[in-house]
Parts: sequence; C-alpha cells; structure tokens
Amino acid sequence: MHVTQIVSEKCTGCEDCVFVCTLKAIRMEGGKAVILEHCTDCKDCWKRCGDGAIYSGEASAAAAAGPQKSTEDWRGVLVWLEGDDSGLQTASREVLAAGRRLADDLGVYLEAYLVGGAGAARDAVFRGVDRVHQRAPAATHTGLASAYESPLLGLIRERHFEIVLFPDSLPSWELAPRLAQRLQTTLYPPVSALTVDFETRDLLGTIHAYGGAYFSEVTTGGARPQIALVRGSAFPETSADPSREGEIVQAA
Amino acid sequence: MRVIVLLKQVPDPGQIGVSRTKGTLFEKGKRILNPADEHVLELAAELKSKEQADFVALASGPEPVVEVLRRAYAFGADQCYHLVEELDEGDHFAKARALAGAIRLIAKERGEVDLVLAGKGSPAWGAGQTGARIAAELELPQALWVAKLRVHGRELEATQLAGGEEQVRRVPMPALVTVDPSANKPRIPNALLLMKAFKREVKKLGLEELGLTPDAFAAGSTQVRIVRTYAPD
Amino acid sequence: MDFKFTEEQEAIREMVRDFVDQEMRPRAQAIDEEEKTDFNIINKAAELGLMGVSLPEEYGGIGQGKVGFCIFVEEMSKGCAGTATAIGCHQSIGAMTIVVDGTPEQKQKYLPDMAAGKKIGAFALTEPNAGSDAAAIQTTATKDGDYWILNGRKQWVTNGPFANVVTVFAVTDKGLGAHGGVTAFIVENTFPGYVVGTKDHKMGIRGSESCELIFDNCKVPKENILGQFGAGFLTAMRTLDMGRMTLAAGCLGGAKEALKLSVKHCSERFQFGKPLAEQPVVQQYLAQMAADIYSMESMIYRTAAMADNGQKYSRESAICKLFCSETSGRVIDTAVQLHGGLGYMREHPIERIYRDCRINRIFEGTSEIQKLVIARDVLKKGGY
Ligand SMILES: Cc1cc2nc3c(=O)[nH]c(=O)nc-3n(C[C@H](O)[C@H](O)[C@H](O)COP(=O)(O)OP(=O)(O)OC[C@H]3O[C@@H](n4cnc5c(N)ncnc54)[C@H](O)[C@@H]3O)c2cc1C
Repeated sequence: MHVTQIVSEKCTGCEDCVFVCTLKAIRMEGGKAVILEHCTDCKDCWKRCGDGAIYSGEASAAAAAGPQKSTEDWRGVLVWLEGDDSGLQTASREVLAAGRRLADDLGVYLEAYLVGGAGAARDAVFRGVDRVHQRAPAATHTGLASAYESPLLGLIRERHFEIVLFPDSLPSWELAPRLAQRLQTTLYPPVSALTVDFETRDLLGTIHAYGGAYFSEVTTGGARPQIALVRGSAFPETSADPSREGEIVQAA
Repeated sequence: MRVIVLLKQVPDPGQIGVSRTKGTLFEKGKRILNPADEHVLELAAELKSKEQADFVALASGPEPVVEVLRRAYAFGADQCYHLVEELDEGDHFAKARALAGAIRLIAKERGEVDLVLAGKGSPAWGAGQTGARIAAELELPQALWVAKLRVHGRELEATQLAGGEEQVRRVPMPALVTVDPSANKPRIPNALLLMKAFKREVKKLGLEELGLTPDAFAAGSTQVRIVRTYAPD
Repeated sequence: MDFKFTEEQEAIREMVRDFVDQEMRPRAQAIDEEEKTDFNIINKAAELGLMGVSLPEEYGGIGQGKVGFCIFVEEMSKGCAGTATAIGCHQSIGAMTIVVDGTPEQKQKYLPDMAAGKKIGAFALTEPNAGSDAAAIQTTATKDGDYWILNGRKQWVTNGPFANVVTVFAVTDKGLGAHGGVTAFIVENTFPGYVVGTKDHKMGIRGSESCELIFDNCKVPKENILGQFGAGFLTAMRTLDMGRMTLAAGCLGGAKEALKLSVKHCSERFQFGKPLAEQPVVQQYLAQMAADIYSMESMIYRTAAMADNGQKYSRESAICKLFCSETSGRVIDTAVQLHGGLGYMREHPIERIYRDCRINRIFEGTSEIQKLVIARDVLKKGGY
C-alpha cells in the first residue's frame, strides 16, 4: 500500500501532480488531488508539488488506522436506532428516514445498529433498513459509552460504512464523539438537511448556528466514516411497509 | 483531588454578522470566554473549597486565548496552562487529540488528574463534542450534561439532564464531566483576585512538547468544513 | 497620548457591571422607597473587594488608582446613584483623607478594615453655619492631656448614621483662621461624646443616608490627629480634589443610563405612526446627549490619568465637577422630556434618576463654588 498523501487544505488544484504521474495514480476530486491505490510512492509528485500539499503518510498514525486510506474503501450507511417491542422511537424513525434517503442516493445498503427488541427490529426493516444488527439494551449505570462503544466500533471497522447517523439525543452525544475520535474522523453537529456530493461522496449537511440565527452548510475535510447527528423533526419518517424484507442479525 | 478545567474562547454572540457576498460569519468584537464555561469555573471553584481540589485550567488556541485563563485565575485557579496551537476550529478530532496530550503532560508535571471538566457546548453550535472525544483519547469514563455533581470518595454521582429528564450516573474517577449551565450560578469574581490574575503566570505548552507532529492530526481531513453560512429569511 | 483603558481596567469595569446588573439596578427603585442604605448590597460589595477599589493594595485594597476608581463609580452610578454615593463616599472622601495624610500607624489601623468594608468611612466638614464657606466652621477641639475634646455639630454627613470612622474638621486655633487654625481628626463612632443626630430626608440618592453628628465633649486620642496639626484645610481640599472628580464620574454614569433608557423608549414608543426615534427633533436630542456624554467621559478620564501620573489636578477636578454635574443634569432632564408623562411617574427609573442627579450640583462644593475656584485660577494665570 502506498504512503503518499495529499494535504487537502494546501492543494490548490493546479493538477501539476496529475500531469507528472506516469502511472496515472492521481485523480482530481472536487478540485483536489487524490492518490489512487496503485501509487508506488515514486516521489515524482512530491518533488513537483509547489504547494507542499503532498507528503509521506508513512509515520502517520492516521494512515495506519485506515480512515484516510481512500474514500473508496468506505461504502454503505449505518444508523443508530433505539426501540422496544412496540417499535422504534420517534427520533430513530427520523434518523432511519434520513439514512434511507442517503443510501438510495449513493446506491448502497442501509444498515442499522439497533438497541431494542424484536418488534423494533421488524419496524426497522419495514421502514427501510436492509440489515439490522440487533442487540438487547445493556444494563448500564456508567453510561452508554461503556456498553456500546466497542461493539459499534467493531462493526464500523469491519463494515467500513461511509456514513453513520445518530439522532440528536444524549445517548448519541455520549457515543458518537468517542467513536469519531477513535476512528479519527469528523462528527457533524446536528444537521437538518443532508445531501451528498455524488462525485466525492462527501456528506453535505445544514447545521444551526447561534441558536438558529444562522445556518451553515458544512462538509467534511475528506475523512471517513462521516458521522452525523440528525436534528429532530427535520426528516419526515418513512412509512412502515410490512411486505418489505430485510436481514436481522444479532449484534455484539 | 485534582481538577482540570477546559476553557474555550468563542466569538461574542452579540458581536457577529454574516457576509452576504462571502457567505461567512465575521466577528465584530473581541472574543469572550465561552458562556457555558463560566459554569465549569464555578463548579471547579466549589470543588476547590469543598474538596480542597487542585484547580487547574487549560485552554488551547492562538495567543489571545490567554485572556480566558485570567478568568480562571479570578475564579481561584491554582495554575493555568495555555496550549498554543493554530488548529482549525472545526477540527474537533485534532483539538481533542491536542488537549488530551496537554492533559497527559500536565498530569506528569502536577500529578494524576481525577476530573476533567468541560462546558456543555458553545453559542455557535450548541452542544459540544470535544469533551467526549477527549474522554475517548484518555480512555476515561464520562458523564455529560451534568446538572449536579457529588463526590463520594473515588466515585462521582452525576445527575445528567437531557430533555428535561434527570438521570443519575455513578462514574469512577478519573473521569470527564461536561457541565450543564443549570448546574450553578457563576459567581462574580472577587476584584482582588481579578486584578491579581493579570500578574499570575500562565504556563505555555506547544504541540511539539506533547509529541504531536502534524501527522497526528490526519492532515485536516477530520474538520467540519463550513461551505457557506447564511441568515434564514 | 494613549487613550486606551488597560486590560485590568476593562476587567474591573466588566466585573462591576455584572455586580450592578445583578445586585444594584434591580433594587434601585425599592431602595428609593425605603430611604435606607441597603447593607445587603454593601456586604456583597465588601465580599467582592469593592469597598476598597481606591485603597492601596498593601492595606487590603484593590489599588486601582484614580482611573480605576472613576470606572467603578461610573458603573455603580448607572445602577443606583444612592448606593453608589454610599459606597463611593466611603472610599473617596471617607477613607481618602487617611490615604492622603495618614501616618503609617493610622493607615495600618484603619485602612484594612475599611477596605474590607468592616468599617465605613465618612467626612464631616459642613456645619449649619458653614456650607460653601467651609472656613467658617465652629466645631472646636481643645487639648486635654493625651486627648482632644471636640465640641460642635456637623450636618448632612453622608454615611453618618452608620459610619465607624469619620474625618472631622475642627478649629484648633481660632486666631489662625482656616489655614493653620483647622485640624482634621480621625473620630471613631465609639468614642465617648460622639452622638448620631437625626437622619435627613432627601429629594434623591435615598440609598445614601446622611445625618447630623454631634460632638459633645467627644474624647479623641491625640494620635488621631490626621495630617499636620493646623493643616486640616489642606487635607480637606486634597481629598475633595479626588471627591470632585469621582463625583463627575458618577454624573457620567447617570447620563449614560439616561441615554440608554431614552434610546429604548424612543425606539419602542410609537406616536404619529412611527417610533419617536424617527422624529428628527428626537434624534437631535439623542445626538446632543451622546456628544455631552463623550465630552464628560473625555475630561474625567483625562483628569484621572493626570492624577494617576502624579500631576496636580485641582483645577481640572473642579472643571470636571462643574461641567459634568451641569451637563449630566441637562442630559437627564432631556431624558425625562423624551419619556413624556411616563418620565414623571414614580414607576419609571428615569424619574428617580432625575431626582438623584440634582445633588451633584450641590455637594462637595456647589457649581458656584467650582466657578469661583476655576475663575480664581484663570485670573491668576491670565487665561487657561
Ligand atoms: C445630600 C447631601 C450630602 C452631603 N454630604 C456631606 C458630607 O458627607 N460631608 C460634608 O462635609 N458635607 C456634606 N454635604 C454638605 C454640602 O457639601 C453643602 O451642602 C455644600 O457645600 C453647600 O453648602 P450649603 O448647603 O450650606 O449652601 P450655601 O453655602 O448656603 O449656598 C447656598 C447657595 O449660595 C451659593 N453661594 C454660596 N456662596 C457663594 C459665593 N461666594 N458666590 C456665589 N454663590 C455662592 C451656593 O452656590 C448655593 O447656590 C452634603 C450635602 C447634601 C445635600
């Protein structure tokens, strides 16, 4: 695997590196150079780049951990859901709807990590989840992070979801930042609108700034997975279709 | 008991505007201490008097950030540290990694840290993520949005406040706690302490000292990048 | 020339502003009705170190100098001029006599407690027959062994009803007149023969209490002579230099509060289908108020900076006192006018502020006396 990396803030999009690369291992994405898998670290581009935007990621812990490998290695959408036997919680249904839309836009599966009973798992499938990783709620006195953090981390690392969505709730705030830190990635503050850039597959969200006095459209600097919190009442729920099929597996 | 308080300097919400042509927020006035952090300082001051806690404050960012640390001294902080860095403000991953590094260094210098305190959030984006990220970096248990905090020996009894509901958590120390603004009413600092704060030394830390090279920060790919900001019509 | 406040000064201003917003302004109307100094506020101020803003650090004060003290008084006066007078008087003319002319022993004995707000200070010069003509005082002090025996009455002594440490000016040698014949004494309220007389009922600044003090063979130990024997008048004048400038800062605070209330009212009050603030005449008033405030602010802080630099500022402080008391009176009068009938109603703070500000042209030397002082200087110098 190559160690050559692009510092995307420094990249001016001049395409000098694309021109100099005889292996055609550099591609422009969203105005920035991206190193492709078949790069052999010949260093021609390092020498050519006048902006100091290309460097060796060899020593970088970030590169070793994976997230910055390449955005192409990351596919699929995961949502965090909670519910009981009567079905999913409201916030979970909204997150599910947001995830379903993104999965459709990107042409990928929607998976869910569900804390709840069988009824909730069925509800999740009926409302559009393709695969539910279901587990029973843990008895926890010290917070959700201690109970769900590592199974969730394991699942994300194994499946390489490009997008992970949480509702805007205390459990999410307990979990999502910790996951994001361990995965060395971005966590979007609660978003009220979500789209993707089809070329880069970067997530574009709208967040409320200063208590709603302003809105900001935000995106990632390129890291994967893109973890986002979903604002309540911002995404209309999908309706439950009992004929819909999906897989339910027991999660750790 | 040793408490480290994390302080953030933020744009004054009453002193911002948005440029229509550039789609960016601009700041008209001086930055202030994050209002939520006043409650953190108050809690730390209370722990100092009730538990004889060693009260340490840490803020990171460019030079003017040192001003918020004066406020910590005015609240009675024993020592303040300024981690001088110019990381992107939206790069929570990098900020958390840097702050965690600083906390480790301070623990080495002053002794084990039992409690890391941070504010619930900031005016700009509401609830914050840096606290929990730091907890992950330091492998600490956490309690977020805490409205009441009691110390029982080596254990914290934290009452979390979410959606108007209270939830009691027991968390062993060392731990990280973010403080809900309902936790207390920040005091008006004593004028003499306030003046002395200007003469107290703030220890400077640099990323190199923490052993953090640019590589440690995932090259900025982890930032929440603002594309455009606008006022709703 | 640098007209920037230091970071310390900005920090003090912000802190006092918080204190005023939380503790003073919300109580101002009630205090006016009660006609009592609110010791709840005084005690809180003391806890926060605000009873010693002007006092040196080595005696437990904040050591903020003249600029810092003016900032303090300006901010307090926005919230409640009465309480500001009580707290300000304690530190400016109350304790300042000892700061200016006290011996190290006297400073050590009195200032730490005063800075901590445990002892309240007052200044007793005026008598029934000696107001503007302070040299006409009749209170006497006669020597009796290790003591001086004071006899006479002082009136309108701010903080008199509860003061613990009072600087009293008395005639020690009738033949020598004001200069040489008047001595200042530090008198404690526990000394035998010290009698608190009736409390005054005032038009404004009712959060500040004043009264008559009677000295009926009051026994004062000789070590309590303040400053040089016979030079009491100098002590009084030097202290009043500071008092007058501080008083001007109080005027500035009142004027700023009046303008703020006026802007709010004129923006919210609709007549003729639009806010008052859109009327050109109203805007002229607001502009004039702002210009007046700017000129007051400029002269006060310039003078305070001179004082902090050790320059003589007697004439300047007299100018500040004259100009700012007159000007803030005009600004506040305009504010009442802009509030219309509401401005005449007891329920509205501007009515109180109007009554509160009237005193500024009278105490610590009337406007006429300031003019006298300034004119004497101008005539001596042949100009400014
Ligand atoms: C609320 C309040 C608090 C006070 N607190 C204190 C205090 O703490 N300590 C203290 O010692 N004193 C205090 N005083 C007294 C105050 O300083 C005097 O009232 C003031 O100096 C004026 O004296 P007078 O009232 O006797 O007026 P008068 O001297 O009788 O003057 C009456 C009028 O004649 C004018 N006038 C007098 N002489 C002349 C002249 N030569 N030329 C032109 N016009 C002249 C005056 O300007 C005034 O307009 C206080 C007074 C009040 C009302």
